Amino acid sequence: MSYLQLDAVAKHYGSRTVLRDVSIDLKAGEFVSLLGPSGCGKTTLLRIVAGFDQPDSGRVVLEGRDISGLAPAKRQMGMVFQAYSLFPNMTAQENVQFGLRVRRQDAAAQQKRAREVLELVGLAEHAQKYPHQLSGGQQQRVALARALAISPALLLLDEPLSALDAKVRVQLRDEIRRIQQETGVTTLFVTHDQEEALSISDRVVVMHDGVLAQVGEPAAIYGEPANIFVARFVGAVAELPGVVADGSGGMVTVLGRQVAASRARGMAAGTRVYFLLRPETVRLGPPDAAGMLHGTVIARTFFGALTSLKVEITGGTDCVTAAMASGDAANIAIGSTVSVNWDPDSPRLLVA
Amino acid sequence: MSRPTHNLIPGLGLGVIGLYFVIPLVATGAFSLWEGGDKYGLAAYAALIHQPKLWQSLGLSVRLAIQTILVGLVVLVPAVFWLNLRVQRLRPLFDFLSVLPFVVPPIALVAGMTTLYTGPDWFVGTANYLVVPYVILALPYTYRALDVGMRALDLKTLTEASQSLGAGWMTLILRVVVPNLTTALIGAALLTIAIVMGEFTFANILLFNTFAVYIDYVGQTSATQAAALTLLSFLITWLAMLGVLFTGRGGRGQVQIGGAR
Amino acid sequence: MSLRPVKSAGPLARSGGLFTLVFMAPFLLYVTAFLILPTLMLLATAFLGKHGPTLHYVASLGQGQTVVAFRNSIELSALAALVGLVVGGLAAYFVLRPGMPRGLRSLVTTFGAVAANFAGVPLAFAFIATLGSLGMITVWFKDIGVNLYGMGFTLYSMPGLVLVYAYFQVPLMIIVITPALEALRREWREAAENLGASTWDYWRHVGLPILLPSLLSAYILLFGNAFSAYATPYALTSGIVALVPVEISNVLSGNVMVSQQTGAALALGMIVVMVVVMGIYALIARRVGRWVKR
Repeated sequence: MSYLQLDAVAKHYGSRTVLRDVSIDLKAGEFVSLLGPSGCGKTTLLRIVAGFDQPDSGRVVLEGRDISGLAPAKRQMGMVFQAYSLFPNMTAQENVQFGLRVRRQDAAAQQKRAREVLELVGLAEHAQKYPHQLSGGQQQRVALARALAISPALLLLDEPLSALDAKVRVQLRDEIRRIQQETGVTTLFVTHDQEEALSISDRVVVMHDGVLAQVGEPAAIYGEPANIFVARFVGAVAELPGVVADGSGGMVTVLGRQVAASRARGMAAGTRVYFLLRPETVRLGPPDAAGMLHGTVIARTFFGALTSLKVEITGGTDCVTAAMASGDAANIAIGSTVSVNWDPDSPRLLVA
Repeated sequence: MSRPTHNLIPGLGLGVIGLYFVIPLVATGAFSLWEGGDKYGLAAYAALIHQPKLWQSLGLSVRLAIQTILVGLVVLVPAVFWLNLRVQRLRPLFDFLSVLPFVVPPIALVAGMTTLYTGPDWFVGTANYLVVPYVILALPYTYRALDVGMRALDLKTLTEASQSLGAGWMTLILRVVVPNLTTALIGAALLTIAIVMGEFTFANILLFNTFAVYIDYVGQTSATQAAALTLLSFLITWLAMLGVLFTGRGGRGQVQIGGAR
Repeated sequence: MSLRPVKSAGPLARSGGLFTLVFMAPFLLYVTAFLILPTLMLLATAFLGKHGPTLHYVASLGQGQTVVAFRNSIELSALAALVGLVVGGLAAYFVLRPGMPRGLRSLVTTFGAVAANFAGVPLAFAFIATLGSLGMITVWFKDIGVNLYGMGFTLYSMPGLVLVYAYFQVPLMIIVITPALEALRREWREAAENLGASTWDYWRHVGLPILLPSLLSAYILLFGNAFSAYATPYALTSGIVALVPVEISNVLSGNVMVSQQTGAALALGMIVVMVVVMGIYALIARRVGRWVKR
């Protein structure tokens, strides 16, 4: 049985539809990310779970109990906001104790619990500081501790990393995952950053225009995008126009050449497809007749260990990006003609 | 956002507060039209128009307002300019001086001035003398407006740019700084007008017939005419404040309060 | 010989103390001559008799009538400030609530600016025309059988003055507290709710404590505003309620047979009250604003 169940949740603002009948199930202890561009409805969905927004129709069911009509204060959920949500007039410890204080717990129990969670987020020695004395990352840790202090039924994270520096962001991301696994709290995490979502989650829910574009484990979202939106949004991908040439042999016509793609097997000849290549599956070689496609290297971007080369395919303006070890890439000059190859199992085909 | 917001009590509360503010104005308006018994008309207004003293006092207050604005700006613009450009460390002093008029009530200041300055006659004997304390009354608001305005300018760059073109200090202030401060200056000027037009303390103690003193004088003889003048005074304040708000559109519409309590 | 960094040779670099003097002197001289010296003069006058220093005049502040005037002034100002704080604070809060009609805010801002500046003699007359013994509302109530003045109400009393003062205190409060209310973040409200807080819990532990420094300084502003009010009580009560500013004006105008020195002592007393109030404010502000970033 699912722990949290969103059942056909719909929401409109005026004539604008923000969510259309969204249904998601979370298992107990699961870490699920809501991923999508801004305006896709992910934040609204989170706010509906928290109780700050009311759905027009549909239900929010927690442990078999319909909580759709329940006030936010009664839902026992811990939420971490984007930024600046700490009460500025309270120390870190007082912030963490707040949820316990309004529950009228006795002072000793409050302090004990506050110390516990502050230790969990690694801020025990900053307990007496006011928010403005803490860095952005530390503030978000306190916010996390505050949400965890009430032992929430559900942890809700609303882009908690988006206001932080890149380095702190990665650090805190990993820490959130560690803490979530230690505490086993079921977590719903909203983000527009696909790397964040893929790296941290048990499952990722990709949203687009108020509907679910795909729900699955990170590897599946990346490796087997269900539609062109997910393919484009998650990770980098080269997208070439293709037509299935031979359904039994696994051949596709791309830019006038017949190339191998095992996923074409079983597709009717003549089907128009998006021919998708992830950069890390592309291999460049010296130009020869055996090459699947040919092209000219037009740009190079250095990422340290890896370098990506942009290749314009001969016979058009379409490009393919290849990611390779920087040492190998150094041997290929801009302007040189190369062959573009791949393992026939690599390309993903989506019916156009 | 979508939870129903219950605005019944706020609405009612604002309604009651609104009534409190509107009723005196309406009642004053009705009162100014009262001609005794059940008769209503414009008699009070007609009588006022033919009072030379009204026009004299109004003219005096307007003149004082303009003089106050000019003196205030001449004294303050160079100081605030230099404060922002070169001597930031004097800011605490300025902040202190600008709250002083708040700590020293007008009635106390006038007491001090009457004991300190008893002559010469050309100085304390004419209504122009009122400009002296009025500048002090308007000081906090003029200072604030100028300071906010100059902070918004990049004074250092402006100054260096104009100096590299060979401009002297006076040219710089008159041709560069002041034009760039139009909004702040107009705001300060209108606020000064509102303050001076209603100022009563100094004028009454020092025995000059300004507009506010005239209203008080009329009030002792004709209540309906006083009501009519009250509305006129409200109208002047209203115009000055609308001016402040409109000029404030560009920057931050800083509405302040001076006034004659 | 020490090497000094070469400065650019423009006039900016050469403008040292001399320029500071030229730019600052008019202002500083003006303030000294017409604000600081008159204040010091009060001090000197109050403590100097014909035959050298004396505490006589300052001691005369302890006389019955003067004590009453100070007590009235302080009580009236404290009360009028409280009324302004509560009513103005609520009004500002109501106006800022989501779902309030568009345009309400600019209406209140504009009217507030006008009303905060609409004080003194005209304000007193407006209220006399409204609630004076022959005011429109008074007469109207009488017509429907309610005799306000028969019931003990009078505009020329402490409650009456508070009612009139509210006309400039409430809008002033709205003007100064609105920015502080706007600075209350939605996240704080939602975080509190999310953690299980009721509306009361939120205001008790989060909203009001955060507003407290602003409320405190607003209260001081309103207190000073009411305390120094002269034209309004002068035109309204003509001495029925003894207030310090009116007492001083009586001395200065020669309406009462007391010396200039007594007037100076009264004025000095007002300044002392303001200084004490500001001092208390500074102490409390430091305490309640511990968490404020400096």
